[in-house]
Amino acid sequence: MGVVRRHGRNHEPELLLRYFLRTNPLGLAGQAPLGLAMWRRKRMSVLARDIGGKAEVEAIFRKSLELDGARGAEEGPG
Amino acid sequence: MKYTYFPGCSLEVTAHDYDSSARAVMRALDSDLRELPDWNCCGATGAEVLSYLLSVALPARNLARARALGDQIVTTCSACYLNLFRVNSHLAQDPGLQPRLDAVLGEAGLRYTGGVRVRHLLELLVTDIGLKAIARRVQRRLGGMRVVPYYGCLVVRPYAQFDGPDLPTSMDRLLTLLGAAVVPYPMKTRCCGGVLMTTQPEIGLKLVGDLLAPILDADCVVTVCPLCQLNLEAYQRQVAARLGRALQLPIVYFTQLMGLAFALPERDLQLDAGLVGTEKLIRRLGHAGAWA
Repeated sequence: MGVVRRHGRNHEPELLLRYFLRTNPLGLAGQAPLGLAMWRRKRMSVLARDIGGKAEVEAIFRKSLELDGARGAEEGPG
Repeated sequence: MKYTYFPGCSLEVTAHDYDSSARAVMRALDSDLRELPDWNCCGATGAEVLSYLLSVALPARNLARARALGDQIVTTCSACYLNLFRVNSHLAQDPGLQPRLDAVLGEAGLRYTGGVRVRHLLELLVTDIGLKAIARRVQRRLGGMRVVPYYGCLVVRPYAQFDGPDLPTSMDRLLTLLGAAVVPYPMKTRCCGGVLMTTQPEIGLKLVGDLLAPILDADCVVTVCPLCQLNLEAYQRQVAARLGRALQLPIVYFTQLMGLAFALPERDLQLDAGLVGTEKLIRRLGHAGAWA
């Protein structure tokens, strides 16, 4: 959810990149053909776009995590 | 008629063909999808893992903003539909949720107390616009194309608002109306694996293989969900190796087939965005000349 916290929306390439770097860096190579096929069909964007209200989304993250006593309340979008 | 539209993150890029065809079909039916300005992610499947309140507040921000535009919101993604719908359901069932949600949304200068009806586009088309109006717009019937309606889990479960939770028929009726031959498919609401295809690919491939194995001779599978579409389409090579059978099965959105029957142009339907080619499908319909 860090991607959503940073941008306000999900950005699938960034999500997958972070997921594989954290869990299985070698697995990234296996995703390359699919990523390329998606990119050729304009179904993958390289850069994420922030929404205008991303400060609102950050406030929602911070307060929700604080009230639920969850980790990350003070971390910010980073 | 104008409807406030929540596309969701997948429809921005990964499923731009769904977004484009949905908007085009609605225009053809004299309706208009007005995108909710500055919408945010509905929380997908990840928010609740972090915090229950976050999983309510993220979609609630969108509902609060939609409230200023009307009393309903339409979405095309099954997961977005579920997450948005769930806010209203939980607010109605749990009186203790409202003050907690107020505390969170208040940080963003917003408040939401319910009152925005959440609709899936399939529901809207079948119930509000209606099959008769859709039938009037059909310009070229789908010529007995053998289609498999696949609903996935989330559009009818746990909230079976407009169709049965196990064997829904709304899309079947719609596709029949377009001239397609609907293949009986008892697995129409079995799970496609969702994000397991990334986190637990062995399980994901097994689930997709189970779904595709009985329908290899169909002309296409028709979906209402961007994640189902991707899971069923993107891993066919691996699934084919497991099944020991050739597999080139187009997975399309119901809005694309509607647009095909409405004779809408390819720039709106974007059938060429599919990872599995749809040329054979188009040729079979004898519509190839219309796609220049």
